[in-house]
Amino acid sequence: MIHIQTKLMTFFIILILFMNGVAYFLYQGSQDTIRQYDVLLERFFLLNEVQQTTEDVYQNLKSYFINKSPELLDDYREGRKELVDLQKEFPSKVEGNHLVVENHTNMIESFLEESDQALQAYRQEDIKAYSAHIQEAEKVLSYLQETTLQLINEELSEYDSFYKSLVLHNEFIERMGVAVFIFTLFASLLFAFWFSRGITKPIDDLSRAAREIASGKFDGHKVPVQTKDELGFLTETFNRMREDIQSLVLQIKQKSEMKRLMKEMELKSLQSQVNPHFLFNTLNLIAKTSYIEDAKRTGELIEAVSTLLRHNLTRLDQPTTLKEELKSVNEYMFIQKARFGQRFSYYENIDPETLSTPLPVLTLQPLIENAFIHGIEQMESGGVIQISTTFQDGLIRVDIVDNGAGMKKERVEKLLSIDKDKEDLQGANHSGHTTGIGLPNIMRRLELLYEREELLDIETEINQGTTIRLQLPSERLQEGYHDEVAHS
Amino acid sequence: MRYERVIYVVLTAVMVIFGGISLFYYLKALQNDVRISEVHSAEKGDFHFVLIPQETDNDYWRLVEKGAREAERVLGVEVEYDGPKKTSVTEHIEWIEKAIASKVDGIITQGLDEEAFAPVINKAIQKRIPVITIDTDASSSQRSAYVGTDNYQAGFLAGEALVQDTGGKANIGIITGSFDARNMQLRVQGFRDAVKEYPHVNILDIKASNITRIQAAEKADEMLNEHSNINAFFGTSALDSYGIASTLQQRGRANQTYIIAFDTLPETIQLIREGIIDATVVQKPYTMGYESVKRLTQIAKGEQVSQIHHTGTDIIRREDLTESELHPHESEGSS
Repeated sequence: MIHIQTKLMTFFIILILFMNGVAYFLYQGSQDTIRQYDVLLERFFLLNEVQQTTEDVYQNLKSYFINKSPELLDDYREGRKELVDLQKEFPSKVEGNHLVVENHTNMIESFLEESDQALQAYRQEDIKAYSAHIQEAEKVLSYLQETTLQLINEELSEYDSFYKSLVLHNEFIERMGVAVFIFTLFASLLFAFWFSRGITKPIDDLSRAAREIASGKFDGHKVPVQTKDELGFLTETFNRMREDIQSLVLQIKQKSEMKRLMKEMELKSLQSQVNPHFLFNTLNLIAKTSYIEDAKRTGELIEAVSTLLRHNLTRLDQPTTLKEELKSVNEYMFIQKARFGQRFSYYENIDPETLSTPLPVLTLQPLIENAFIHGIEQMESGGVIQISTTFQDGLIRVDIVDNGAGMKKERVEKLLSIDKDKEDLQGANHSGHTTGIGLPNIMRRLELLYEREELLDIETEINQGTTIRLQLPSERLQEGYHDEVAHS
Repeated sequence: MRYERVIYVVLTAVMVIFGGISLFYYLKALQNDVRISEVHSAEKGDFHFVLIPQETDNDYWRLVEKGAREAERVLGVEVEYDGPKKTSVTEHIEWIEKAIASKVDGIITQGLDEEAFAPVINKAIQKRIPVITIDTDASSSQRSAYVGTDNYQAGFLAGEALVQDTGGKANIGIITGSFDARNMQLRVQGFRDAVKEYPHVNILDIKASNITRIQAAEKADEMLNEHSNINAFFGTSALDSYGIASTLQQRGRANQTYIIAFDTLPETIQLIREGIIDATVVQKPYTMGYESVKRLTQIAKGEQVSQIHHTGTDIIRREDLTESELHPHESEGSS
């Protein structure tokens, strides 16, 4: 992975090096030019100095001859020494036809000789001699000046061509400088653009993808990985995470689906245990026969059973209402009354608002049966069963109360803790007195319908009677009902 | 992202363009990367001589220079060629003085004006600078040697040629460059001595042209006016000869008049071809140049050389012209 920092650093270092390099190069170039001018000027200065010094020396000598003052002599000596030094410098510094340079150097020598001889002659008071020498010195001086001019001319002509080239050179360098500047400008722009795109684009892509996820869409396209830096890494990770979420969600959905299927299966299996049609038809036949045989009471009993059955047959997979269930309970009671007669009493206390409470089919009746089995059966007389419903605190309460023998605590617990095993759903087998649906079954179905647990409660004590209480949420009244309708 | 692509392309393109431009200008700048030439120590020759011609751009002296340059190359010495632009005794002396002040290793000069030159030549000798006179001697001076034409002999040969060609009968007019120039004096002297034996050969007049052809022509004209019976002319230098030729041509007397000239400049050859000039004296300037440098080197090395070295003269006439000379080509010049 190439870090973003590395990229940035590299770019800036290159840029800085490059710009500095160019600046340095240009600087060196100009320094170089200056140096060359220096060399040239130095030569001119040297030539000029030689000129001046020889002139001065000559003048000093002449003045000394006139004034005889020692200072002038000193000046002369100084000047002379200077001239000697310059003469030494000369050949190595001055360019030009070396023959001319040689001549020049030698002329200085000649000049010095004549001056010295003039001085000597003067000392010896040989007027003729010193006059001759001083004149000679003057002559040499003029030749020297001519030669100097010649050298200067040569230098100037060389300088001329050099200068022209230099101007051209500098012009090109200048243009190059401008071009390099523009080049660097665009190179930097290009890189800045590329680099910033490299950062903002992945970020854009990631945010877009994140937005998709936020709105619940898990199946978007993979965000393309374009760079090998930290952002690339982020993108890869993001993609992987999204995939993971996607698969997890899928898993959950599948599980939920499974659950649903199971529910349905359970429901179906629960309700398929009863195959009512044959029974129903047969009962009808029996009822008709009994009416024909004028056994009216028999017919009524059979009709009650038939009604019961019919109620239980219709739309097993659909929830029914409390009202219907009560009807069913009534029929059952009719039958049980016929059997047990005076041994018990049955009361209803129904809140009309609860009539439309959705219930699974065969909910109340089995509960009533339970009450019978565990309560009333053992009593010779005075057994009471009561169903009461209220609407309270958003809950619909259905109480089935009996004053029977009650149950042991362990039994209650056993009944309430539903095992999903099929055997348990069958419940305790009291095949003679029930329609075959046990408490766990009822509980389970209620739970499926309301998608909730702990809807059913049992209050009981030995010999104190039992209350089976249903507490059903009322919002389910609207919602769940419609849901179940939709899913049927 | 189309706009993105476009931006990339545009930026890259501009960048590349300017990159190219930068490179282009850089290369151009390099092309013109010039330096002040550093002082280089050149190959120095063994000796530093000075050759002072009469006139720097004179064809004759340029030939002398050529000879000198050859010697320069062969012997490994260095020769400066410089002098007056126009013939001038005083200037010439100045040049010699300069050479002395420059402490050169040797001086080659024409002995133009013997009297005037002698002192300065001697001064050079005293300062231990050898001096060789070339083309014209200054024998009274202390000059180390003379290399050049034997001017007296040249003049003598010219005289003999004239006598021969005119069959011993001629009335002669002489145009000379200058009365003061030693070489001219000698030539005239030689000429006179050559013809004095012959009674029918008479020198009627002699005038000086100051070594310009215009004056030469003028003087020739004058002479013809004064002596209408002149039928022969002797020009002691090329320019004098041209002056003579042009005057005669003007007067239409070129064919009848015998002209003997000096030196072999192209013009001279041309005039010979045309038959206007009948003969001319040949000098050897190239040889002079070469020999003078050679001898000077020997002297500078301390060897002994002969004081006089004559470089030879000859007379040529039309029939002596070689095939290549009959048809125009390069030259030998004169003064």
